[in-house]
Amino acid sequence: MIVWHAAALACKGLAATPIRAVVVVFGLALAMGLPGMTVRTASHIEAVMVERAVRTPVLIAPRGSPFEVTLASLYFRGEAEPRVPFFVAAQAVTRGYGSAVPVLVGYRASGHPLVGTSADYFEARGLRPVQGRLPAVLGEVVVGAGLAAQAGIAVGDRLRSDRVRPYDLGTSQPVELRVVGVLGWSASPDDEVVHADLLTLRAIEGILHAHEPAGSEAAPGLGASVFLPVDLSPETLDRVHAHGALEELPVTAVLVFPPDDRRRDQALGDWADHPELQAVQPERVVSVLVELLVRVRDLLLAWSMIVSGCTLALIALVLALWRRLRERELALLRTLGASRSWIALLVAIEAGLLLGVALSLAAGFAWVAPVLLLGALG
Amino acid sequence: MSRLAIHGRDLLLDRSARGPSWLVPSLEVSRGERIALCGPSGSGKSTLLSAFAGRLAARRGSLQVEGCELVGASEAVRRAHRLATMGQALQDAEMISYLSTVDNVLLPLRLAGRPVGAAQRARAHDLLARLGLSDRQHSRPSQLSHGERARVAIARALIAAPPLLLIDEPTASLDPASREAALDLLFSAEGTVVFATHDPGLIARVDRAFDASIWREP
Repeated sequence: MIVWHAAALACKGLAATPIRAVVVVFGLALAMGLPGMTVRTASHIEAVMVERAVRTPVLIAPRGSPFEVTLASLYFRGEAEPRVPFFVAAQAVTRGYGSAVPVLVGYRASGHPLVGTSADYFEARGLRPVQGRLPAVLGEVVVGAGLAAQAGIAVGDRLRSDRVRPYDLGTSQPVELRVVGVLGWSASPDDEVVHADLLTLRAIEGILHAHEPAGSEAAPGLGASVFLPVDLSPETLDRVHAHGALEELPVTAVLVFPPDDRRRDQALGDWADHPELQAVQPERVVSVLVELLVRVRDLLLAWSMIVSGCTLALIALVLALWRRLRERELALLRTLGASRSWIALLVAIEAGLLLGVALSLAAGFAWVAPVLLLGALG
Repeated sequence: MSRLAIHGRDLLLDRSARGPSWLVPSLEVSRGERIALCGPSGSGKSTLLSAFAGRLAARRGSLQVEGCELVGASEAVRRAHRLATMGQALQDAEMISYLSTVDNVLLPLRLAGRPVGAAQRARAHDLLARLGLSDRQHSRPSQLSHGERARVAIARALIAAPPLLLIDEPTASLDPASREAALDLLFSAEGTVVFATHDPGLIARVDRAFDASIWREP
């Protein structure tokens, strides 16, 4: 009964000063949750990075530092010059190293990252559309779940490719892209990009194009053929063509998915002596990055603990002042005959309620922080 | 059970080492008696009430209140005894700022761990109504005048129907109608009532009155 009465009084006391209670609760929650948020966010980034790297056993990339090309082709971050001929993918398959998927990055559609690849990519990454379907013909794209939700993109929408070379009006023209599907949530970088077939990106580059011959209705009196704005609508697809061998054109990297470790090692060895290309093991590249991340995390953790300590000290000061302001109330309770244990119970319940709510919030902050932070950062 | 509600002998009281002190050679208050401690300001009325309530520990002597020897008793014992046997209305009519009038009246029951249900709330409402505070039952202390807070303090003292009531200056801030209502309620209460007052009208109504200044040491 006494606990019940003390709890009732404590609740009424807290409810009477809601702003003070909310400030203390949020201050406590942030102070207690900050280290957890730091650790969980870093761990989440680490897990996503490592998982992605582990699921991509081999990467065929140009010779040089493997970091840029790994970040660009696995995580769609940064830029890497496309210098791997497209036919390398076919070579890898022919040599029995499992499925090989070309990846071309560095393009954008309506401001969003656009990745060119083949249909095998979705199979290899386990990506399935939750709305619509995967791209089947030129000009069709599928959008990652996170991007679709964030930008409000749905099946049937149209995106426009950003110009590859903004000041060269004669070559690439913006291409209208049809959204035919939205991928399911995968908690990976695929959630934040637009995927298209590699040939669609060739059209954006202007390599796949259509033109009217000189003297035709579209180009009357001109002595040369006229480039037409690239129209990848189903009615005009048969007029789109390329000059030269498409398989010679470069991609950013080729992702190879060997069926076992032996063939992975063979693939790594096969390109070891290639003068222009190398086989990279993304897991090793990422382990270096993760090591760096761990150091940063430790530094952030140390800082967050200092900040938390200062915040807790401030809150202790606020609570001490609060206690002082309530001295008259406690004196009245003593005057009426309240025992020390009754008053201690009242204070403990109040503190417990504040601490309990703050701890729950802190746990919540730590739990959702990675999602919110990474979502905000894109 | 003793017939005496308060029995003091050779009681030496002081609030501080350098302040005034009071020596009470003998004081007996029978159960059910209404007495008044009177005298000018500073004569020691409130000091004596504090001693009876066990809020002020006597330096020596003997003071039995409702069967409990308070001199030499620990603070915990005195607090528990106070809660169990006394209702107090203090001069400053202090209230808990975040509780409504009714909840302030019910406070002694909560502190004693006694049930607070519909019956107790009904009694609190009744006490407040008899004190002319029907329309102030859900007000906060900050919304009440000093006279209204003084009446809430009287209702709080009465809520647990204690055997001993210690009432400090009950009429000082009351208008005539409220004064009569408050005194009628206090005089109708069962048990012993000790007033600290210099209200001649109240002094005229009690069974006995003591001038506290006669016990003040020179």
